[in-house]
Parts: sequence; structure tokens; C-alpha cells
Amino acid sequence: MKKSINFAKLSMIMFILAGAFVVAGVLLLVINGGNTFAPFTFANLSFSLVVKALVAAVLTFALVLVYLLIRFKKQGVKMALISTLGASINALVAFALCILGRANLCNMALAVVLFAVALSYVTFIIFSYNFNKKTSRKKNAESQEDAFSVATDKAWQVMKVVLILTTGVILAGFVAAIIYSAGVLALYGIPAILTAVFSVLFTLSYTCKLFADKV
Amino acid sequence: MKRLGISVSLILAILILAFSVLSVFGYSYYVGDNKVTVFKGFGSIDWGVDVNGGSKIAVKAASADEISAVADVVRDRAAKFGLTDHQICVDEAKGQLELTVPQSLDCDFSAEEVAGFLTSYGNLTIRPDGSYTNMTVDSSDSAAFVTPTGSTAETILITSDDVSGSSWFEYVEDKYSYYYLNIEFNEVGSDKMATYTNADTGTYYNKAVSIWLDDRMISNPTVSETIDGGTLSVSSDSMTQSKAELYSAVISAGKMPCNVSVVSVTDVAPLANNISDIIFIAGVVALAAIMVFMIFRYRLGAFAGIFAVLLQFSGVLAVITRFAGEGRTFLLTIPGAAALAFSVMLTVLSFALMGERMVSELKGGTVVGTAISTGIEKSRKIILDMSVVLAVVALMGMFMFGTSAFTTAIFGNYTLSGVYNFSYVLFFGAVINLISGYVVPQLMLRSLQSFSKKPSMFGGAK
Repeated sequence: MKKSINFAKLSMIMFILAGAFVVAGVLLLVINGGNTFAPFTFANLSFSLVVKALVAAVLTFALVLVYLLIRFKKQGVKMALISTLGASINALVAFALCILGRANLCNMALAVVLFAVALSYVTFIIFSYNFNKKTSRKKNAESQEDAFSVATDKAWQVMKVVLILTTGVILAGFVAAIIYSAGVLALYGIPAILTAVFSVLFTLSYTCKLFADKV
Repeated sequence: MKRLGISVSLILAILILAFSVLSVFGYSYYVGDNKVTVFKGFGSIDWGVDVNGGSKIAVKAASADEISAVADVVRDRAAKFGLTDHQICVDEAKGQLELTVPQSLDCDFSAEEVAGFLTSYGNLTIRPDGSYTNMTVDSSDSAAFVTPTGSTAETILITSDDVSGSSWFEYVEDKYSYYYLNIEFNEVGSDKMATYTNADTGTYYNKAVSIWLDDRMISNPTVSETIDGGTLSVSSDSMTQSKAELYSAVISAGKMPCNVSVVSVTDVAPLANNISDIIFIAGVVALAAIMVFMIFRYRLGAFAGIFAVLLQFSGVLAVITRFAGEGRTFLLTIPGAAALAFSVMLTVLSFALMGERMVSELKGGTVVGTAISTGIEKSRKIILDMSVVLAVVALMGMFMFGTSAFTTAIFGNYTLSGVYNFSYVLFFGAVINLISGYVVPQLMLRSLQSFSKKPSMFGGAK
């Protein structure tokens, strides 16, 4: 029998890592006195914008919820909540990684953050879809566990391909930026790759934990 | 699942290839010295401030308390002009506002002039005659008449207070386009215009009047009929589409709540040099890498994925350039380019879902036809779910951080260009992915099995 990953442990580690990144990022911002903020875009950062971002997150959750309720019935509530929460955490970590990489929080950072959010939603759907499909019809615990293991393998196989290609695309941009002596852009290459990897692993671990609990 | 002839793949490949070439390179021809653009390509894209830099204007409100209201008017004008990438910074303590607009706007006015119009007082007046003090030349080499004088300066027939809105339209005659500005009057304005231009009693019937936006004359028509419909349509030799759009945006957003004065005008540098070249080269290298990877992994089956990716890339690019449309392209910023990359990745992912299932079936000993059918069947719902959820998320980003009338009414007019840019491109990427990520690869895979039935040709074991 294949040795299965302890998703509860992995998920805990990823949550701790996420917290550590965010706290370290905030600390660095405080120490630098906000110097990593370029006035370029974030001069617009005001209370009303923060409120708007929160409203956007809530409305996104509501709309995703409606769709997932139609598609997955009762399970949709949990899925919408987890996917939106995961995307929000990934967004925070992406911001933190940019700050830790000493990159200004300009439009480039925003691109990294939004990329992470989109990747988070996609990863979540692929994993949760596989688990729902594989485990819902299995009655006894052992066959559910087997199905869970197969689902994890299949989803991970696809995400591995995507992760390799995503990293490749970002690396292509990174190299092109270096060739053109655009060091400012190259600065975002490493946070972008780390963000993509973190986003997929984090989403994988907590989605697996969610379904492992169910199993 | 029904097998299709190889001709389906060939036809799809030719169509996608032709569309990709047109979408990337565009198509235009010359009539004399005039360039006629039929399809816009990558080179036509208007880039945002972060990619190509911009022009920043700082203005000071006569009354510091009014600066928020001034900012609202500027946002409204920018939205009505369709300026999806701009930045407004308000310093309430100083009563100052800074507006940054992109340098590479496809507009007959320079970025500096556009910024000037958007932050101007914006009082529309209609005056008799058309006497002016100075004639200058604007950035499109057209004559600009400024500062009214004589009777034109002394008498004002209509002001912004009498105007309710504005729009523009194109009139085509003998293949030539003429652009008109519509000025819509409120009840008081309509009555005034009807009285002034009455064919029997009107003082200005058959006489010249001039339309001014602050200090600048934008048209000098002669009244040839009674204007009693509440709308006046005017044009001029130098009226182009972008000028009509800009005038219309300024007029319909109304004048400022108080006088504003220009403090400074400066250039804003892009984040780095040659960003558009970097995006292009990175895109080409990434596409090539994806294709090589697909061929290595799915062999003959990879062609379905390659053409799907090509269609996705050129489809989203066509949305950005407004392929066959007139006027400006979508203002692409770095987040927008990231969304383009993500859209392509979405199609790769969609094909990988199909392909990985197909490969695993083939390795398990299933015949090619069944493996392809299983791959298509098992990936359909998940591709639909991914695309719909991403479209929903993107739609929310567009509504919340864009300039739509819906959100403006609820949340005020607030644009965060980066989020809007990303969401706009991602939304169309997700929608197009339903075709390029599912319909095209499944048709091609079903057709490619007519070419070979060997599992090894589709990534299975030899």
C-alpha cells in the first residue's frame, strides 16, 4: 500500500509558513517606515480602497458560492468559503514575499498577487473536484481512503505539469528582463516563482486536509 | 465518442494559424499616404503608465475643501474617456490633485494635453461669432484658437449650467469619416437655444456662433436651422474621433465645483525600459517552451494542445487590441500582461487535464479511441468549473475596480488600474478558454486518432 502524506501536518506547516511570511513582511514594512511602497500605484491606497477590496472579496465569495451551490449542492458552501479564504491568504503571502524580496509594491507586485489569487482558485477547483468525484460514491472507509489517494495522485500529476510550465514562463520573463537590463522587473522573478509554488502547495495541503477530514 | 476525419484537424489548424498571424502582426494597407488598419496586431497596443511612462499634471483647487469633489469630476471624465489606466493622487491638506495618464495613448492629443483637459475647469460656453486672440498649434498639428475677444468675449449665450450631457458620432460620406460632437441641453438650455436660433425671431439664426471649452474654441458653426430638439451637433475640420471623445467626456462630466490652477506638468518614467519588448520575447519563448514540452509528453496528441494554446493566446490578444474595431486598444499594463500569461496557462492546464487522463489510460492498456474519449469526458466539467469560477472572480474585479456605471452608482467612481487590467484580460481569457481549452482540443484529438492508432503516438507506452 502506498504511503500517504499526512495532510493535517502539511497543512499546519503551510499555515505556519503563511503566517511567518506575512508577519515578517509587515515587520519589514514597519522597520523600513513604509519605504518599500512606491508612490506609483499605492498612493491610491486609502481607507475607501481597503473597504472596497473587502467588499470585492465578500461579493466574489457570494458569486462563487452561488455557482458552486448549483454545481455541488451542499458541499458548495464549504468549497466557496475555503476557496475564497485560500485565495485571500495566498494574496497576503504574495504581498509579503514581494516585500521580503525588497521589491516595490507597484503594478508588478500587484501582478504577482493577482496571479497567485487566480492560481489558488484553479488549484482548489482541480483538487476538490477530483476528491468530490472520487470519494462521494465510496461507502466504506478503506475504499474511500484508496479513492482519496488516487485523487491526490491524479490532481498532483496535472498540477505538477502546470507548476513546471508556470515556473518556466516566469523564468523566461526573468531572463528577458536581465537581457534587457531591466533589473527592476527581474527583482520580481523570485517572489513570483515562490508565490506560484507556495500558492499551489498551500492550496493542495488545505484542500487535502479538508477532504481527508471528510474521509 | 464519434471519430472525426483528419480534415477537421487540418481545417482547424489552418484557421487558427491564419487568425494567430493576423492577431499578432495585424493587417493594414495604404491609400496614398493614409494607412488603413484592417486588423490590429501586437504593435498597435496602447501601453499603460508602468510600461511606457506617462504624463503627470498637478492641479490646485481654488478652495482646498473642494479637492475631493474636483477628484470626483476628474475620475468621471477619465472614465467617460475610457482611460482604463490612470492614477489620481489627492492631497487634501494642500488641496492638490495629481493625475497621471499613459504616454502611449492612441489619441490626437498628447498625454500632457489629455491630462490638461481632464483636469481643466471644463466650462462649456456658446458665444456669438468666433473672434479669438491667439492661434496656436496643438500636438496633432491642427490649429487651436484660444481666448475669445470682442463680442465673442462679451456675450455668453449658453454655459455648462444649461447643458445636461454630451456624446459623439461618426458620419461617413464617400468613404470619408466626419466626427460630430453632440451637446445635449437641459430644459433651460433647450429653451434658450430655441429662442436664439428661431428662424423668424432668433438673433443668431443664419449667423456664426462659437463653441468654447474654457479658453479654447472647439467649433465655429453657422446656425442654419432652428435648434429646438434639445441637442446641437457640431464639428470642425480638425475634429477627429479621439478629440470628439475627449470633448464629450469633459462636457458630459460637467465643470469643476471650483476653479483649478495647474501647479506642474512632469513626465513619469516607466518601471523599466523596453518592457513591451520583454513581454513579447518572454511570451514567444514561453510559448515555444510549452509547445516543446507538449510534443515531448503527448507526441501527436500535442498538436491539439499547441493549436489550442495558439488560439487562446491570439484570441485574448485580439480582445486586448480590439482586433477589428476602431479607436484605441485596451490600455495594457503589467498586471494585464500577467493575466494574458495566466490565460494561456489556463488552456495549458485544460489540455493537461485531458492529456494526462489520456496518457494514464493508454499506459493502463486502453486503446487510443477509448483513452481519448475518457480524457475528454473526464475533463469537461472541471474545465467548465475552472473557467466559470475564474470568470466570476474576474468579473467582480472588473466591476469593483473599474468604471462601470453599476459600481459607480454604488461605490463611487474609483479605478485601481492594475486590478481592473488583470480582471479584464482574465475574464476574456476564461471565456475564450471554454472554446480553446475544450472545444478545439477535443475536436482535434478525435480527428487525430484517424491519423494513427498507436498508443505511443499519444504518449502511451511503446
